[in-house]
Amino acid sequence: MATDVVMPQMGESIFEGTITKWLKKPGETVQRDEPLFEISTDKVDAEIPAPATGVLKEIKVGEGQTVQVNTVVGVIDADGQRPRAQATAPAIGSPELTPEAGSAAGARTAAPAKGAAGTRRGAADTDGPAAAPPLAPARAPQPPAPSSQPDGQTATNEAIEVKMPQMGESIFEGTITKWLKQPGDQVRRDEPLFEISTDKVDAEIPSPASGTLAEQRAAAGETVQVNTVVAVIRAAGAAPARAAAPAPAGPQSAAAVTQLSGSAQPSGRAPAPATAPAADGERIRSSPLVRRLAKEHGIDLAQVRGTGQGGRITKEDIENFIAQGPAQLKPQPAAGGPAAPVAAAAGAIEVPGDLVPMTPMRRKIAERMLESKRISPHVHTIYEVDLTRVASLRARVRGPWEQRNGTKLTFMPFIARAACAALRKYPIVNSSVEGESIRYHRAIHLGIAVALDWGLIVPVIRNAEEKNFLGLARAINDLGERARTKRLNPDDVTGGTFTITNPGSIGGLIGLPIIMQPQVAILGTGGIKKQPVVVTDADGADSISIRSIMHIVLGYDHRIIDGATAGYFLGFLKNFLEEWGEEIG
Amino acid sequence: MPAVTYLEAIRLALWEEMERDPNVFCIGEDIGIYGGAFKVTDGFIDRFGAERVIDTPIAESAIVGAAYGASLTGLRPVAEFQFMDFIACAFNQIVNVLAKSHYRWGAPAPLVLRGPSGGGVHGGPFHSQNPEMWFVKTPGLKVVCPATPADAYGLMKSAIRDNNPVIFFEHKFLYRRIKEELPNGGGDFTVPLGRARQARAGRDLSVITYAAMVHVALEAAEALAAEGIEVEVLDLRTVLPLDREAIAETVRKTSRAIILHEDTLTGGLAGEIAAIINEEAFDWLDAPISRIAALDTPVPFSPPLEHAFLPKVEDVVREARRLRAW
Repeated sequence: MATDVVMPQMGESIFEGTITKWLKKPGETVQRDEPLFEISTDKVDAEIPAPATGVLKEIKVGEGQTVQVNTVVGVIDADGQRPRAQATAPAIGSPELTPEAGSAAGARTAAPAKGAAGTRRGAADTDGPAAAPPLAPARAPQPPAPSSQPDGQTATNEAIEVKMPQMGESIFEGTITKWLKQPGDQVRRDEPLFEISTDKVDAEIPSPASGTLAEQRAAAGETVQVNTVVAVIRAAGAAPARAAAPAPAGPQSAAAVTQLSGSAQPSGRAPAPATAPAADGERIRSSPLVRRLAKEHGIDLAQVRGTGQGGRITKEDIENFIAQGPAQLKPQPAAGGPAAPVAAAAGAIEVPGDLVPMTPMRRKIAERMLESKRISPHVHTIYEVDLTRVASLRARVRGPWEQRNGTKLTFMPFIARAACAALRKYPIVNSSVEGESIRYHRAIHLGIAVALDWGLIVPVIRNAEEKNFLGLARAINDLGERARTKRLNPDDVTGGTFTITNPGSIGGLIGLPIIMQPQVAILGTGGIKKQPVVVTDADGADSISIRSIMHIVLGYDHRIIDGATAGYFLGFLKNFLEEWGEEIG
Repeated sequence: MPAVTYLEAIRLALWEEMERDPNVFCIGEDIGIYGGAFKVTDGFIDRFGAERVIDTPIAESAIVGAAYGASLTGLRPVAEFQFMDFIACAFNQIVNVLAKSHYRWGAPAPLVLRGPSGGGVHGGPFHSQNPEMWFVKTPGLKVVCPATPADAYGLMKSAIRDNNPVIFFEHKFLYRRIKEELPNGGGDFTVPLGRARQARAGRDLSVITYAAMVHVALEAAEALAAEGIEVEVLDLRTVLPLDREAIAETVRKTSRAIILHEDTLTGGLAGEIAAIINEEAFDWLDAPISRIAALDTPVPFSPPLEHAFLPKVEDVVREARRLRAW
């Protein structure tokens, strides 16, 4: 078995030490209490004895390095044990407990930290702080030692912690939205283990190792800090018996909804018309006291009339209800007879329907949309675009183009390319308001809204102005694909300077989009439809022709963009598309 | 025995303890010849001599250090601060030395640090504070804040006889304003540290408080009784350690709680008590817990501002009505 060697605490006020010299090399045999390395701290220099007999397997902290007290600086493989990696020492459970019976190191660590005599020799040359330095080994965190391990099976039961990943510099927490594996399930390395939702992106988190999911430490719906341990995986080959062991916080994904949708009321009873509306799904206002009394007396709070503020059931209300006796407690059968005079909830406002909490993404969208409507006075201008030329170009080259380039050819890159050109021509549309100034962005970071089954996200193509048609097409397809498979990085969804949204993809004629703050405009594209259109030829003769027509809309911040500017912008865009003349690669 | 003021009760307790136990002595600024800034030790030097009533330089840190040293030798010093505001000058001695004495060295430190605290006397920001929370945060100390002459007497005796450092906050607004006859016909008695007292019984709502605010609560309770709201007043008396059982008991009885203190709100004792209620009596609550405390500013000198700053009877009445209707 492996024993960690830690930086000892040499005194009350000493928090770190520098390793000045290793007295043993990896592979060398050491005796317990034999000097292993030398350290230097603020107050003393000392030789530190080995905490166990065995082979020095690994030096984790080299000479000259300064580390915190209790940092693992090396690993000793105790006698007679085959070498085994024990890199992540205090993986599960509390350190410091569970001494390993039979091993010298274990027996030693079992001794309480304070006053472990015999561990002092290394400190012999201290310049005499009063408190005896409690030495290293006494505190060494032990490798996880399952107490209920049947027999000798100590091999390969390495526990691997799964942590909430940091999804970006400015992201400090994430919500686990779904567990894809349950305790006891086998997982392969890189197989999706759970889904998270952060301020910026949703993502599937892959398993860091193969093995058995031993424990979920955070339930679905829970928001935890980055680097919090959310699960423990028992490495492949672990004794299967233990997989089922510690599984608190089981699957609770449905719990929130279930709880909100009311107490499990026996549905057999016909709703008595005179009673208050069966308040399934509605939280009845009461108090901890009232709920406790209701539980103790088996009272359904929907039956109690509340006289407090907003119809709240008060202590007096429930006490009176109890005092009126058991007749009150049983709902009257509705059959035939006169409706039972059950107290109608006079003040209570009952809203039927299920109350389901918003997902973090939905909350974020709600917040952003509201904020944008508040900040920017929105105006929308709509243009009609004849896409016949683009549509026929696309139809003509699509097959070979897609084969050649290995990506889809949609209308979106045409629009994106035209938008970039228009933004270059009218830079005010690619700007932001900062106080009483306007920031003209040098680059175009083009956001493309992607509808998802679970919401909406706007990944951003960076420096879109530098990309040619093919580059834009690839970027659009790549971001769309990664958005739908939850593989976006936070950086993919920030920093946009202009946004395109395509409600037409669902079939709408046009929609009036809301600006993504702090941008000042958003381009919407409608559905493409063949329409009879009056066309005037070069000689001025009119004829009716079948053309592919699309509506485009610019939603803009009227604080800085006037209707005329928006018109010029859209006119340029329209022209660019109608007279498409660029190579598309 | 005639009624005594809050100040006289403290003086009496000190005097009797010095008579009873030769190890008890007083130390502080101007406590000897001058008799103390508030005359608590007036005449002590004539009876007990300058060796047991020691005048010191203006150096709170030195006063506490000397008292601590004396306590280590088995004496029982009672150190006076002219105003508890200046206890901050001795902060390190108290929190790092006194409070750790038993835990670090197994050495009892039987001393009492006493002095006037509290506002309402137009003393301004340096002479009106309620600094008890600096010490409530410090394990190893006991902190006492009596509200009545009887409690001041009984708690002072307990504090002197206790083997731990006790900080004894006297409320200067109460010194000469309240008077009562001591129980036990003038005979010796003590009030245990760490026990609250029911100052008034009621069924509808509990006001949990201490020191001068006990009297504000009682006055409010009187006004509310006229409206049919029966208020129970719990006087904590000792704020470290807190009487958790008494707090839980009164809330379980009334299901509504107001926590009232003269110290400022943020970081005040009310937050701690709210947490205790949450831990001990959540299932008995029928309304949110309400906190009433001084504003989060230094104590203003201007009388109208100080009036606005301090919690008042009408604040308690208003909150009680709100909770009752909730």
